[in-house]
Amino acid sequence: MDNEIDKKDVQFNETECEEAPSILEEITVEEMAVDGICGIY
Amino acid sequence: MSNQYVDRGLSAPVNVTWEVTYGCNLSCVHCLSDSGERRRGELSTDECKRVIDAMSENRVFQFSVGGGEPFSRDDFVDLMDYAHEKGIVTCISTNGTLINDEIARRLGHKLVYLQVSLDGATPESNDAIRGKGSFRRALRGLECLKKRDIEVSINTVLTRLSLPELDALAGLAASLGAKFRVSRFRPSGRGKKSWRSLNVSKDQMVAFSDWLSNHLGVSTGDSFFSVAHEDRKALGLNMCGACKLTCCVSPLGEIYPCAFLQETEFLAGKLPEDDFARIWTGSPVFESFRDLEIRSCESCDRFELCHGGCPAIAYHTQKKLGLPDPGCLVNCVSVKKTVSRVA
Amino acid sequence: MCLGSVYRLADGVQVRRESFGLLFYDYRGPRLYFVPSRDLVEDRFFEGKRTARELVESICAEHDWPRLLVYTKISEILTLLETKGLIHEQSVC
Repeated sequence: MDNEIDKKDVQFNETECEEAPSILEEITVEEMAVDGICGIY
Repeated sequence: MSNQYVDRGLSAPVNVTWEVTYGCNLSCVHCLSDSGERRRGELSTDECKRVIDAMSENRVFQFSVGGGEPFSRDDFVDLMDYAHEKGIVTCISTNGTLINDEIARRLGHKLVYLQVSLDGATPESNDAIRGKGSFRRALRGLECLKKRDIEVSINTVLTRLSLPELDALAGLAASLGAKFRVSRFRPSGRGKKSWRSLNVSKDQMVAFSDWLSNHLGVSTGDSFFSVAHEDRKALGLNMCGACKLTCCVSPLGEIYPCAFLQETEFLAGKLPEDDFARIWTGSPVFESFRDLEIRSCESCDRFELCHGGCPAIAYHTQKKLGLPDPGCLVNCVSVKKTVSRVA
Repeated sequence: MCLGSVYRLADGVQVRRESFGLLFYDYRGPRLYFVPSRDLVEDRFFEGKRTARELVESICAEHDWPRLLVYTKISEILTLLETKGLIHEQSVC
């Protein structure tokens, strides 16, 4: 099945985590209402 | 509400204000562009397409198109079609008087938004500002657009004359199935001459601020964050977006921080010959504008709501950037001596 | 997230790459969405020509990161974007 993840991927060591710092950070989306940015519209 | 990503700098504007011509069939007393006759040097059709190409290459999402009267250009709808082929949204500001059934048919595109300007809810009140017959002709244009189910808003510039008409204008917009937007009167173009006679008083501005709180469905864009109450904070931009989220292209292809600062000292470059990405990321004018701080406002408890207001109005009224918006709710009238970091 | 699916932008939404990740523009608002996904997801991914599995595999190949870690992060990003109404999933049979 397309959704299966290999069992060998279930365990990963701390070193692998340290090497991927950007991937471990939580993603927080910021939003901004931008109606009428320029003043004429 | 500042944003860390905007503060760090985006790769390109989100939205570009593009004034496509100085030509206009009306002579509104408050026209920000002092429009009327077309001027020598206005971009040709090919040059306009190159401007669109440049914005597309830089992944600009939207044009806010105005003028003059955009539809006074014979090639205007063709240019909008070209922008749509590139996936660019076009928000067109028009006096509505030149829109007929055929133009409305061609404008029926999902990337098109239209804003028709009216400054009074009756021919008498509107035409006093926009010229005899303009109300009737604008309504005719609005009817053509309504038949095509095109998303329309009616835009009114807040002046002493339009202030008493706001409820009626909101009702007129609703009857036409249109949104309603109120924009700020700024002393640029012909607005410089009519500023004293047409600008609202401080008391009127305070009354308008309360009116806005009772009409959360009315849009104001970035026009009134200096006077808006907390309840409107989430409705739109509450800081100047010039050089951070937007910039302006004049009918001659000149690049400025915004439509209201089309003065020689703010000229950052010229399209289509200059490289737009270089202008956006490296122009000294843009860099100093991004560094602009309204120091005297920073201790104000409304600072997070307005960030000092509109720099353009401060500039035109006080002849200097970096000073507080004079139309601010806290009534910062006395301009404190401050160190401006503008180069 | 279904690894076999592609993901497309919702109607009225545009996206571009920025240094921090992805910038979405929803002109139905209009509203901007700043997604600090760094270089994990390209804006072109939302053209719907690559599946989520292909995206995960390409990231793993480029960075040699554990597959589950990448899957979890991509799943987090795509779920976030779907919840915001910016993208929609399209399964590919």
